[in-house]
Amino acid sequence: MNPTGGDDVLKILHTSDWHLGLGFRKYRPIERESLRAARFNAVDNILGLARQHSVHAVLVAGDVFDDEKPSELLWRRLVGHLERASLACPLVFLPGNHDPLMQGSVWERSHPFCAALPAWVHVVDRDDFRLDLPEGATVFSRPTRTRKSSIDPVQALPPRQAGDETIRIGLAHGQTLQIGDQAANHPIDLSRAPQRGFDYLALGDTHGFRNLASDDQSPIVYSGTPEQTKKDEEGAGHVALVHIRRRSRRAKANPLEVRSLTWRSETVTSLHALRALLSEDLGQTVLDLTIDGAFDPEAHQQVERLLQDLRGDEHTPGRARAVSIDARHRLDDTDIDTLLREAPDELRTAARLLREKRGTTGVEEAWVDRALTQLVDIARQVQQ
Amino acid sequence: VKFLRLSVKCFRGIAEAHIDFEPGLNILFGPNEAGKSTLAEALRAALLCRSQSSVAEAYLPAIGPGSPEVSLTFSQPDGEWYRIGKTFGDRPSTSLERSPNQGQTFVREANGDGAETELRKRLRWGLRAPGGRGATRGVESTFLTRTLLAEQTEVDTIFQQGLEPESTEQATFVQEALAAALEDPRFKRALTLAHQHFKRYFTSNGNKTRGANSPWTRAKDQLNEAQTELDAARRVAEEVAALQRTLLLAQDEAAEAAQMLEAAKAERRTLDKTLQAAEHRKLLIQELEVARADMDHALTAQHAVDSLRVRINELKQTLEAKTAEVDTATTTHRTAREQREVAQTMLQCIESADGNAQRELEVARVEFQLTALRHELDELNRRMADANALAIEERKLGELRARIEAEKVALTESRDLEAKASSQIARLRLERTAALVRDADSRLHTAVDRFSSAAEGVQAAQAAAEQAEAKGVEELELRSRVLTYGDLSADQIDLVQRLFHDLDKRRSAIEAGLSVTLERLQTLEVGARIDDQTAIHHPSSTGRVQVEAKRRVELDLGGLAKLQITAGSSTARAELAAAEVVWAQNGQIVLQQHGVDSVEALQRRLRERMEAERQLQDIRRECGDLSARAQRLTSAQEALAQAQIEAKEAEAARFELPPCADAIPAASVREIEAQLIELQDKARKAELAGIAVEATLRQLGESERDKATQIAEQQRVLREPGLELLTRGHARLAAIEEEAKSLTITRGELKEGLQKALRAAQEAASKAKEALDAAERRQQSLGEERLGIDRELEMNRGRLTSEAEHLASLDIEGRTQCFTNCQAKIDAHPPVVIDPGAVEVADARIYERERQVEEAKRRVISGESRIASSEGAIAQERLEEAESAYEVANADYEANRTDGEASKLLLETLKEAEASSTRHVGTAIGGKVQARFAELTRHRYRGLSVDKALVAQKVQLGEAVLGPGQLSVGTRHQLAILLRLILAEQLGHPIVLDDQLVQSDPERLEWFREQLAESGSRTQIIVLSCRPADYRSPHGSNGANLIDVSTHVKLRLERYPHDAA
Repeated sequence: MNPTGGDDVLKILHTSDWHLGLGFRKYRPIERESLRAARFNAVDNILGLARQHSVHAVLVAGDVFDDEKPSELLWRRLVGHLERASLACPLVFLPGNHDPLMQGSVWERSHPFCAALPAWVHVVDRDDFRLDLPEGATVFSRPTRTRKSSIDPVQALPPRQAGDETIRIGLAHGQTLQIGDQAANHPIDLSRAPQRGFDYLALGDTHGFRNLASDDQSPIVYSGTPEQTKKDEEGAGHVALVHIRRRSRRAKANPLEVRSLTWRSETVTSLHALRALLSEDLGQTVLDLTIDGAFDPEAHQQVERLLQDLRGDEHTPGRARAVSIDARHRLDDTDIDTLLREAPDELRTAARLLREKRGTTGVEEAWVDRALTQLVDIARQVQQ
Repeated sequence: VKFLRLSVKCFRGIAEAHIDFEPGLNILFGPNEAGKSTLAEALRAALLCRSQSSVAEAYLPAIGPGSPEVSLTFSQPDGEWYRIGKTFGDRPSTSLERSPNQGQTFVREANGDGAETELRKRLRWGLRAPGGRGATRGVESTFLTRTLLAEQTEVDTIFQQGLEPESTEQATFVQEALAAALEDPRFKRALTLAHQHFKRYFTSNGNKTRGANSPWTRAKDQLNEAQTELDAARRVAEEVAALQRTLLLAQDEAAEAAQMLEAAKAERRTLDKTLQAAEHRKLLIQELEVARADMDHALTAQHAVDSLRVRINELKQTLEAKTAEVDTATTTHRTAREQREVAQTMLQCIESADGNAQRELEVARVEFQLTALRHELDELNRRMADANALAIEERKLGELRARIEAEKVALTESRDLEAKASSQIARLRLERTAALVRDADSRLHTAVDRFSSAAEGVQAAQAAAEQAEAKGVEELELRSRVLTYGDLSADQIDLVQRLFHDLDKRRSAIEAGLSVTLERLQTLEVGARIDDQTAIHHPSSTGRVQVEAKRRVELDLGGLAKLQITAGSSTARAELAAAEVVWAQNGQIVLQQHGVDSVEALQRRLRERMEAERQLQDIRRECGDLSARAQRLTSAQEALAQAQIEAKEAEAARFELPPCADAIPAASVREIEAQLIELQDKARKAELAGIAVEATLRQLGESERDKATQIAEQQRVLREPGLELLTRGHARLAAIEEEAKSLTITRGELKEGLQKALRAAQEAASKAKEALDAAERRQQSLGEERLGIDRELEMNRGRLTSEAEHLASLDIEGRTQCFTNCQAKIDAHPPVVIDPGAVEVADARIYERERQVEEAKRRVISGESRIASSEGAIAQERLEEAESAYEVANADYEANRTDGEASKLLLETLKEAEASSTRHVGTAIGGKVQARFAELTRHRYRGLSVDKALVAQKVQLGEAVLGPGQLSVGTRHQLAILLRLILAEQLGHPIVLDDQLVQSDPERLEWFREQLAESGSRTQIIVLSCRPADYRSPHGSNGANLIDVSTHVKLRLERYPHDAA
């Protein structure tokens, strides 16, 4: 039955690179967990979109997990999300190079994960995988079995036979570009891909949404990751909603935004700028902050407090969803005496002595800066 | 220390007294001699004087018996109560008791000097140890005793002697007490905060803290964890990289092995080629030998054939020579016979011919000149014909030339005869010449006639040329007209005309129909609404339409007839519109193309064009005829050229005539000849010009005479010199006729010459008979020789035929070529040296290389397999993530380390600052005194300086700096009391002020009253005064403990009044 109620369009939701269980080791444990949770939120968003648009199928083009052997906690969590979603259309999981179908992999039929999956979830676990969809459409795919390979995964799919006028959808995971001096992993030859005769080629691996086909070709689309995994991933945070005309078999893919997090890189050089930044709602922001410039001890101290507020502590989340701080700011102690004019004499004396110790053997510059900052902070406290 | 209770018995004038002190301000008042100072003395004795001291005698009661006893109960900061009791006199004793229960019971702690020692420990006033050498014998006096317990008269001794440096205990106590007291509480808090921060990182002994809560531990654990992950990621990445390198190495080796295999195979192929080349060369050498044998055989045959041919050619030459000799002999024989016959004939007729011979000769000469003139005329005619393309004249000239040719042939024949007659038999020649002269004479007449007719032809040709020119101009005009009219055709005209008529007819019909309609409408207009009168009065096409539209509404009024008319008009208009469209598309364009504005003009153009075309066709036909004639003229010109050559020959022969011809004046003949040559040159030039004109005409005919006008002009230019030459030709002809007449006159002279020639001819006839006989003999012998040669020739020809057939079958050229090819092939294949074992070596090498290739491929496959099962690109991603995490952990660790080290540095520095501040405690306490002193003196004094021994050194009064001794007594006392009071506050010890403000004015006393009340809140003050109002606030007790001495002290006078008396 055509869920759209129309008779001219086949709808597919194409996504990939969920990377559930991604490490985010750069961030504190509390932030890591928050970022990992956001990826499951993205999964919920995707499944919600599938229901909202009444698609005929959801295709996940690889790297569902960040590792082929995720913890039981992790895969049970995914099963829970899928069960709650309870889609009316099939959902296809393709193992990717991060979670290849290899011995001990979560995708093995004998793995409890596969047994726990709802019936409408299909796993590409054989080389001749094909799934029939409404409107006579068929999905062709082949599992990724290794982390690295030089075999073109698209060319491994069966070509269109002469006289075959059905809608053919290819599902594959691989790279179309060479990265650095390394050869492409699971390389996809774009010049040969159209020869396989797919009306839509759903790809995974690249994290940004992009259509690699020319206007006169059938779409060759990377849906990208639904939630950014690191900074500078252009085009990330989308899924592809694909419409395929039944008669002309003309396909068109539109990106839909599903991400909940925003990744920002900011550099601030003044207290004012830092305050302005922190006045924003950063609850859904992964912030990569660089502090630069020279601050007088008081401003320096305020910067430290603001950063502490931004960062949170071991048990308390900070102002941002996650933050990495590159503190390059320096102390400008020129006016420290003015700052300490109301303080006890001993503190002024201590400030003078500390500045005299700058550059002496065994005393690092940063220690002096930090001690002066602490001194100003203490002076502020005792004067209250 | 706080004084709690003082008990005195038998001490000087006091019989017994018990004073209980309060912690704050205690004012002991009473009149003079009430025992106030004695109480103060007893207090000092209890604390500062050993019971055994000799000075204790002063404590003995002046009246009555008894040993002085004092007992002072005091409390320590730790809350302990002590009681020092001393008995002076005969049985001195000292005891120190401690009360564990706030004075309810006392337990003895020590006695004697032990009690003194213990007391000193408690007080820490720097008192010397009791007994022994150096011990104070009387009342101990130290900086603190002078400060706290100064006698009434010692109010300002504090200015004289400060804190003794040698008294370490006292100094330390004071230092500590003052330092603690003078310490800024904010600084103390700052130190506490710094210490708290420090304690997060370090233990009290400076070691880093440990345990789960230590920041060092957390940071280090995080760093270690990150390091572990990083190391693991690096190992994996290195393993992958190593696998990648191994694979690349294997791939390189495979490529190298494949390359080496290819090289080995190439070497093997080279070897095969070498072997093939050697084999091939062997075959070629064999072929060469065969070809050489074949070629040698063929060359031998060739040589035989060549020899036969040479021989045959020699025979042929010999035969030809013999045949020529026979022919010559035969000719000589025949000639001799003919000559003899001619000579005989000529001898017979020479007599009758001699009269005409000379004239014949002259006529012949004139004919030469005439021939030249005719040439000239021919040239002129040709030029005329070429220029004007007049075929008729050309044909006439051709005929004339033919006739002249015939004449010239005849003349040549006569000249031959004349030449023969001149060379062989003069007579015979004369006779022959005479006959020729006669013929020439008649021919001359004929020629003159023909010349006349030719002149007429020339004139006709001129006329024809002019006509042709006119035709050419006309043709040009016609052609221009045709070109102007373009490709206008009758069909087009017909179409245009038809369209125009159709258009016109429809317009007329509409005009007519509309007029009728308008008329009818106007007649029907009664009662109808006419909205647009302008349209009716100006029946333009728009107006008509509007009218029609309005009328259509009025159909009911107009009736059926109007409707029909309107309908008819509409149809006609629609047809007219269609016709206009057709006219615009087909007819109007034609008119525009031909630049006319009416169909009549177009028709006129068509007629003119057709007429011009017809005329043009006529002209073209004529031009075609002219072209044909021009072609015929070419052949005639060739004949004329031949005739010219022959004429020249004849002319040359004419100069070989016998001397009789020389009777004509040589100068005249040469002049005529020169003129003749000149005329010939001109004629040749005219001929060339004619050829050019003819070519032009031909080109004109082919290119439809586009340049007819230009050629006509050339024709005119060329015709003028032709006419001039013709005129000159006529004049020259007349001159020649004159010359012919003069030649006739010389006829007699010629006759004589002929007779001489007759004689010579007779002699020649006899010689000719002799020659005839010799020729017959020679003819016979030559015939025999030729027969012999013929036989040999036949025989050699037979041999040659058979040899030639054999040679042809041998294909000598093919064999030679084959040999050459074989030789070239051999040259192209130099001999090669082949090692017999090379093939086996090459095969073995190939086998070895193939084995290496297989091995390398196996390694490549193995490497690919290992890489496929490795982490692959993910390893690099995870390494980058681990590096990033490590950087963060390391940054955290560094930040933690910096914070910890900074806290340590700060605490150390704060202590240094604190220490620096302690060394200047005198200055610090001076500040406090200064503040109160300034307040007391209403800021009259400032800048009080106190040295480290706590001795006031100077104070500023305005600009003056004064020492304490320079102050007034009251001010000095006040300053001393302030200093002591503040020290007591800082030490927390009681101070006794024995009526020491007696020098103060009421205002300052008032200030002091307030100050003492305030200080009483910080330390215990015991004021002894006979004027309690000085210390008691008029508004109340100000918290002071007022003790009326008179009620607490029982003087000995009361007990022993008589003693006092």
